[in-house]
Amino acid sequence: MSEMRWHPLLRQWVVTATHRQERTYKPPKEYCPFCPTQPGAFPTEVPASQYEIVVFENRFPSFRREPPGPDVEGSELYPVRPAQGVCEVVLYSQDHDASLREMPVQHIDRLVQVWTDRYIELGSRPEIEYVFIFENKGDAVGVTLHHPHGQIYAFPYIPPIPQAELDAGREHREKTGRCLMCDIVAEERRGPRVIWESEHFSAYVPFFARYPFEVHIAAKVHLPSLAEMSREQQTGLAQAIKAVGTAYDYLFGFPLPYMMVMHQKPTDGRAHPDAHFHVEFYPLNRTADKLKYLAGCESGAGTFITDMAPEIQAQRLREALARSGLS
Amino acid sequence: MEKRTIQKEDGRYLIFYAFERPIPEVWEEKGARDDEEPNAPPSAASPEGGED
Repeated sequence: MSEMRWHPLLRQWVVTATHRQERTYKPPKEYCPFCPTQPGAFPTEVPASQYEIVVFENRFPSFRREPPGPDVEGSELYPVRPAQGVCEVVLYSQDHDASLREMPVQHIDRLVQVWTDRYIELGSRPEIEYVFIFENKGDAVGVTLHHPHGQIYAFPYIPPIPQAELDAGREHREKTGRCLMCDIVAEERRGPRVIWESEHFSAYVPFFARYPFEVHIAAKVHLPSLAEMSREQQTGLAQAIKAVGTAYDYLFGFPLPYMMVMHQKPTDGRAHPDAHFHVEFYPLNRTADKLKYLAGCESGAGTFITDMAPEIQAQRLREALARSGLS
Repeated sequence: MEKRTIQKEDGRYLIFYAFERPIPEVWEEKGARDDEEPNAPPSAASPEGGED
């Protein structure tokens, strides 16, 4: 079963993909399906003995290029649609134990080029309205395979959170004539929450951080998506990602689990002048050994409760970055 | 940046991206050119493939 069911109360789609229950769950390292296939060894997803970066279609996709028809009949109250789209896996490196933070900037820069290629190619498909690039890292986030990888979901619609940001951006522009994200970046750069900055990008704990040690990376100039970045800006993004990853790993002295998501211009053919590329990181550790759970208030009321002022979070991340020697 | 797309036996595509090394040879092609069986099974379909 793989279909989109409409949630009329929240006015958003829910994807029902029952086949994903069968997906691989934490295999031993020697049976990692994302490592290269070695002579005499079992065949992995990659039929070659080495690679730099690989992208392939997810074996257990939430969206498919040619989805089956829905298993249930929809109604006016409960519309149902085939879950059409594309789900890709991006293997960052053939090295099973690598992490974004430990990779040279040059390799992350190459990853940025691959993300850009996927954004353009997937976004050019007529049925794709939003290309969502993300990474889940660490057991706490529910990762089932530890080989360094991210994912791309090419959606047949604009998902609710990017849509909410675009709606807010449109209202802000109507009121002020300016880009909301440009105003946010300018405001953050004046304040105490910046943790790292370069010529092209700023990394900060936002004023409104919801997750512990949440960090956003945003372009200092108005860049709608990866597709508009110069090579220099792509390299700048790679440096920023490495800096944030480094701050996280030095914060508690272990690789910090997080979700990394990219918000950018939809690919539905409309202008979207308010889309402003940015990356958001959502860690779950509020301390070294305590996790932040999305419990009743967050899940049921949609209101996040944070345990530490964003200004203090930013200070601790700056200190962690200083300890690493990278800042 | 070089890229090459191959089709897996189950119809899914896989793309190799190469920057400083050549695009790697896949096991099926290598086995055919060497006129011998590859050491690894030719199928790229893993019984355990997938992701989170």
